[in-house]
Amino acid sequence: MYLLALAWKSARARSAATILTILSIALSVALLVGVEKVRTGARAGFAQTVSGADLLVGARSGSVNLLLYAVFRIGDPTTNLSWESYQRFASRPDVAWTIPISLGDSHAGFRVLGTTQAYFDHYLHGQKRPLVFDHGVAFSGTYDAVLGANVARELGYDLGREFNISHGIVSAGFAEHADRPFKAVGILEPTGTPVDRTIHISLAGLEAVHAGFNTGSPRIGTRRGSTETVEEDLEPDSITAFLVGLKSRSAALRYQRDVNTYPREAMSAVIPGVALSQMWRVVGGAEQALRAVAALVVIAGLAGMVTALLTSLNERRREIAVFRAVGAHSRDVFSLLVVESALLTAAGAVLGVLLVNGLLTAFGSHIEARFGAPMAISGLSAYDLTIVGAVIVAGAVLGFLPGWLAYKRSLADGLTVKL
Amino acid sequence: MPEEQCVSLTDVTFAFGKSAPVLAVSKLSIATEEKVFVYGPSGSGKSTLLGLVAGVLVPEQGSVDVLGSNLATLSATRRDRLRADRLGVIFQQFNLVPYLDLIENVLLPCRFSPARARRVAGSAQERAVKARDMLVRLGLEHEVSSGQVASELSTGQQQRVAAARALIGAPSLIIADEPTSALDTEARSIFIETLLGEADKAAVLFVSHDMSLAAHFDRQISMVEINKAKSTAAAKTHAPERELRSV
Repeated sequence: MYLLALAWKSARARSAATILTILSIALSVALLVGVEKVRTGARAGFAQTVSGADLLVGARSGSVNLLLYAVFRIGDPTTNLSWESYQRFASRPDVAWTIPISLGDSHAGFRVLGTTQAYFDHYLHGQKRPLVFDHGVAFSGTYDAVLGANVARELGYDLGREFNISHGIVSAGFAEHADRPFKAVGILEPTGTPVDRTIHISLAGLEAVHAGFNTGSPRIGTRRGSTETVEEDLEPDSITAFLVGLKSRSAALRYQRDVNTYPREAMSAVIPGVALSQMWRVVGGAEQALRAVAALVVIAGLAGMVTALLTSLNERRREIAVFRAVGAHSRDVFSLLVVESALLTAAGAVLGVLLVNGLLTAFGSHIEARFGAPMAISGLSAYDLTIVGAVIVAGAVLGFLPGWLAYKRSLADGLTVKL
Repeated sequence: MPEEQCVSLTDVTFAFGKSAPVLAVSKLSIATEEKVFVYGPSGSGKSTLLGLVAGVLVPEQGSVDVLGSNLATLSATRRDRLRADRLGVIFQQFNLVPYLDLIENVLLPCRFSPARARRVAGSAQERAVKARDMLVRLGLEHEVSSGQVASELSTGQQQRVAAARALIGAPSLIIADEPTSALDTEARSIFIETLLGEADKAAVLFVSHDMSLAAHFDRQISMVEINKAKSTAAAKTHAPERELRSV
């Protein structure tokens, strides 16, 4: 116990070197833990985004690509899917439900998603949690809109708020569908998924604003673009993709094969979980590289500490001779440096873990918004504690080097230190 | 003065590693409570002698009996224990641990020797009071009251704290390695008188090349005379040797 107090006082006496050492270890540990938290957070976030659907169907493309744009709103769809094909596969007897997804428009930088009531009935996220309305209700009219939690919060929109949607996804769309505004009728509770950053409208509503936009610019003088358009006319020609819930999960492979081999239109059906694991395989290499770099930074931090301790040994030879003279064993001298080394790494590691947890708590949602990737950032985890433990052990073991040197010197010096 | 031996060296040789011996002493003894002054030029083996008596160095041959134990046959741990329990050591300078306060410095031996701690006082608070009293007796009342740390003291003050540390807990033998060499003449006399005054129940082995201090001690021993090792620096340089002998 006394060695611990001595080590602490000794470290405090060299406060500049001690603070810098602790800081460098803290930052390196924060990096290591942060990389892991973001990595597992992103994986959990992606995995939680869609938990109820058996299949995702879109125009033919790579499964990762389809999943990214249809579910995570990352990137843009290449081609759409015809309404007829959707109807055909949605009405199969083995289908329990389908959720059509139509993307391509935006409001104030948030994506607009055209869908049906089925979205609110069947879309599940996290541990099979349904969407819940914070207030308001699902859309019923053509120009009704349901806002994700972040949309409402960041734009400060409440129920009854009217807004226009734009073609394209930039924050100031290159053409506003200004003829008729949408009105917020419902706001969803936060889900921690891209749903929070989405504005949901009916397919009919989307079709209504697009009536004049089929070529990408408004057709002047057409009757369908006017506000008098009646809802029955508003059946869409195409959608971006659709999610499928099957009555029996075992039918998924057959359904997938039928979609993929459908002769009239080139389509792809993917199983979300399979596509996700494909995606993680792709980014896995980069993850490993990142972890390796973070681990190397920790090693650099610890090496810096050993350097600082070794440098301090010369000025501490007299102090060590004093300890020997008053009866300290040589192994006490060894222990003193090991304890000091462990103390510094412990302080650094704990600080680093607190730092990264604090930062992610403070800026986690900002990261999510900035990069558009869902993140399920965990709090203090077993992994954090493992890292703290491992770094302290590594620090103590590295302390053997200055400890052993001090031990050797204390034996050689005896009572007289000649510097 | 009692006749029992406090320190007794018999046919001792010591060498650093495989080099030639730097110390060869056939007979040296110090009685209990005897104050002995050992003088000699640099390199004459004074510090080596102290290292052997303190049990930090171990002789190649011969026996070093200190307070009834032959250090040559004791384990390192037992030697460390003996030193913590019954010895006081004062260096030339840099005696103090810079990041401990004065009382902590004085009580440092008690940290490594429960027996010594018990001899000082039963509780930590009482020990602190004893240490403080000792520092006050050595003229450091102001310094200890204002809570100064070791590095804030003058060299003379630091040496007095070192003396207090060596004296705390009534050790049987005090070993001092030129403790006055960094002090001016006046501070030197005060230091010696204080040290010897406080250490009346202990034997003192005091090493110095300053012959003006010799008169304070019961007995004076010339290192050059007792060290028969051929390789010592003193054996090759005769001038300082002669000068010292003339005293």
